[in-house]
Amino acid sequence: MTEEDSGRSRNDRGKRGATGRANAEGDVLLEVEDLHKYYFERDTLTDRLLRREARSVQAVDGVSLAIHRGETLGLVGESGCGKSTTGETLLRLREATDGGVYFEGESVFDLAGEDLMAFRRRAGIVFQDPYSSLDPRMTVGQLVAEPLSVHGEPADAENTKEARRERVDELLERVGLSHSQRDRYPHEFSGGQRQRVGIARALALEPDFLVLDEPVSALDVSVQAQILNLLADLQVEFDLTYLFIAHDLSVVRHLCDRVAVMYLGEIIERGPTDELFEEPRHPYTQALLESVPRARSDERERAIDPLAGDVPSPRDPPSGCRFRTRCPAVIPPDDLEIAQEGYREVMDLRERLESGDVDAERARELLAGDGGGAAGEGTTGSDRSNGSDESEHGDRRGRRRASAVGEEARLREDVFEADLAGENRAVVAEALNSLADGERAEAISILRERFESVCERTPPVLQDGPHPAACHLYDQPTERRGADRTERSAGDD
Amino acid sequence: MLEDRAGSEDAPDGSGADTTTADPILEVRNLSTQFFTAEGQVNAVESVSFDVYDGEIFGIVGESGSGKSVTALSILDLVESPGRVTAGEIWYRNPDLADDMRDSHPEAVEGEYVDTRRVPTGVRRSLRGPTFSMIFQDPMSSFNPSITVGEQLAEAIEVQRRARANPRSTRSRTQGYGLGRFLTDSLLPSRSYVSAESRERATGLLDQVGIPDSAERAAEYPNQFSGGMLQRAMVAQALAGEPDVLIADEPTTALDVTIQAQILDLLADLQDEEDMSVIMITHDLGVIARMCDRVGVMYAGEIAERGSLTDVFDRPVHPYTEGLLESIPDPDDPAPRLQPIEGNVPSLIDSEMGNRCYFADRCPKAMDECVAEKPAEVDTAGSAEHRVRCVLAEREYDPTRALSGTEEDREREASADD
Repeated sequence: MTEEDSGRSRNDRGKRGATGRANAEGDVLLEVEDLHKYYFERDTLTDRLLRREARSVQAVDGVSLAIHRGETLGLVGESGCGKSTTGETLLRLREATDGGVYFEGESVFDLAGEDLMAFRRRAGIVFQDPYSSLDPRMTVGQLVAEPLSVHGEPADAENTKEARRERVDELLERVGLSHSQRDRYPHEFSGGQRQRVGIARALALEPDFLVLDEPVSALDVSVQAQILNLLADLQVEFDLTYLFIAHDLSVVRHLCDRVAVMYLGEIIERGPTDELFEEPRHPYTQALLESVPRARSDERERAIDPLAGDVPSPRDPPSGCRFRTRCPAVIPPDDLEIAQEGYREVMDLRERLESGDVDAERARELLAGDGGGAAGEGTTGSDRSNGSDESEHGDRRGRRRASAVGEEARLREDVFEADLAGENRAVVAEALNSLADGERAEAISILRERFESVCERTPPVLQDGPHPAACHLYDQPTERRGADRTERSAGDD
Repeated sequence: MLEDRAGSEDAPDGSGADTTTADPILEVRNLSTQFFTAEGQVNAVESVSFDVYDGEIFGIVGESGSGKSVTALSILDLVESPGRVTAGEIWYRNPDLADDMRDSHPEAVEGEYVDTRRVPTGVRRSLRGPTFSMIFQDPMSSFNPSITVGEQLAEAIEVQRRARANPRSTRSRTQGYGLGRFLTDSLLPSRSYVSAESRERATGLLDQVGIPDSAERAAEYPNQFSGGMLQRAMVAQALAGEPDVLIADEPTTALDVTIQAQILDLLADLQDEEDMSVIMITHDLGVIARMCDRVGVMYAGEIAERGSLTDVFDRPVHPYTEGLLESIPDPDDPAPRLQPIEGNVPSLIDSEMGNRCYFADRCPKAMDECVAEKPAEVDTAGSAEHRVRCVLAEREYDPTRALSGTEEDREREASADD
């Protein structure tokens, strides 16, 4: 009973903290502007002598963020999306390729000497893996004291050594360890305790801003909850601002005030936590949220439609919207009548054709010989209530067109899972027919001409506002949609 | 697919009632595995009992160090030195094998069941593949990086194909491939062990687990695969012997959530198609909720609580299960404060584990009797199989009998967290 009560009062306190933080919005502590971080391959001297062109991996590609004083901004994404690189680059632990970071208005990348030291005192980081981020040859006391000695703190104490030890004890107690553990080595601690040491170390210089780089993902669930609560308490107590990097959305919902979602080096959606979780706008955010299995006994009844495919390589990201290769809501051209599932499959086929996975031989396999195909197409056509007439018509046209190429080109029935009939099917067949004849470029252009999406032409822009999404489904500078505009201003509060 | 299964088990105890009428395919009884290390004897698995039924997914959930992976390895008899399965029985239902063994090893046979712990090593070995198969956690380190994925898969298939000719002998797996051939092959690289059919089937399996352009992908090396694709290939490899029981040890832990959803879907589909049983080992209660019919919650080498999914998730009795469920953040609920389980997972060194409940030190409802004697696994309310190793199954929590010794420690830890 008493336990429940204390639990509730803790909850209330947490809530108050959260609202208090939300009020502080507007006071920007750290601003990231168009940050780029590329890694280059084939960039050695030999490569240059051999005149090989360097290849870039676009780990972070134009990220802009504003972190307000006292808030927790969550940065979420799958592995390899560039979230940790963003966190490290904005602390100047990695050198940025382009862009700027401003801490209280001062450009972090232009800092030097004493100013840089001052910045390092005020901005810290807690790393992901407490097993590899602590030097195994130093005691916990030495580890926590290290930042103090690097920065010559505390400077005004009479007996520096004594003052440092007191400070270390105080920090250890604060993060839930005992000062008697000061002289132990990291291997004597469990994962959760080591992460507490990592936090104590980050707090040693009384920073204003901390990057928390997946601080709980290496920990067990019961311990993870301890650390999350600790981080929340420390934030209130020391008035900290957090950039919380995570791949686990449930943890983010729990701790963050605002969330930014990253995909392949770009931020694709940003918004207040509750709003983003309850009404995710970008199809990627929607899929990401849907994919998290809920620990409830009715979880099986929740229908989920997992994203197909893998994250593309950041070496050669897709044109336009980077999510378009996996997006279930990829936008067909305005004048094209096609069901969404069918369009998705056509786009997948195009992708495989353009990347060379589908070659002439494979194309011949996908094309049917005589018989079979026509009957199947007939039934799928009539299945559709309104389009049956048109599709039969299209079928005939398609056949005529295919015969103009020289051969009867028809797709095998099982090429597409979804219904795809009429002109659309015929065009795909025509393209594969050209590919089978070795006309690769022509095949690509036939498909592009008919199926090219706005998603591959134009990169969507992440605009200003409380909850923007970089997606062509929402208002974009060139192709504005009135309905979304009003919706956005209504959501403005 | 998932919806179908969920639909057929709409009644809260439907799954339990359904499956209990049938005989389990696997009955694990009092399984214990110990590691004999320099620091002392470590009881990684202690008296673990559970049943796995035909065509179900049984989940084992626990934190790191709770013994869930060692349980899996013990079933497969893959525990390596200094570890050893020290006690217990693993009854596997197989009438043919039972008939074969009845004369030579009568003690290992009971009706249709065979105790795989008591049959000769060779027979036990021959069960790996066609009976038990395993998917490991990290696909990147489970494949040989210098052999193409298709070749590795074909080799696994070839082994099973040869074994099928004479299922009880491990010798048959290398029939016609003696030392001489092996030596020539190592000097003059050839692929004479693996037949063309096996290679074809490898491509077919890759296709079955949803790898596009499987023929081309079969010729690629593991480093050319993404993590999700490689995990699919690993699933294909596990399917090579058409196993009765597939053990999946944290199959999605190394993967991103969107890929995890794909792999879980794949496993559920395959389980349905192949009608095999799956033992799903994970630390993620969400994965359990998504996949499993019945669950065992492990703590410190023991199964603390087991039962149907609804038993464990909706009516947990053991405070550890309750704590575990409360300590995970829910993406649908923004509660700003979690209720963690205080303290850490205990070490499992035998000398430090007394005759008491191992969770008592962290338990918010620990009473004097919890440290007096180790609680037995007892039946409790809920479905017929809802069993729990806790004194609270038989009595209400009485605050006046609260454990005195550790109360202060707990308060101190709790205040440290505030």
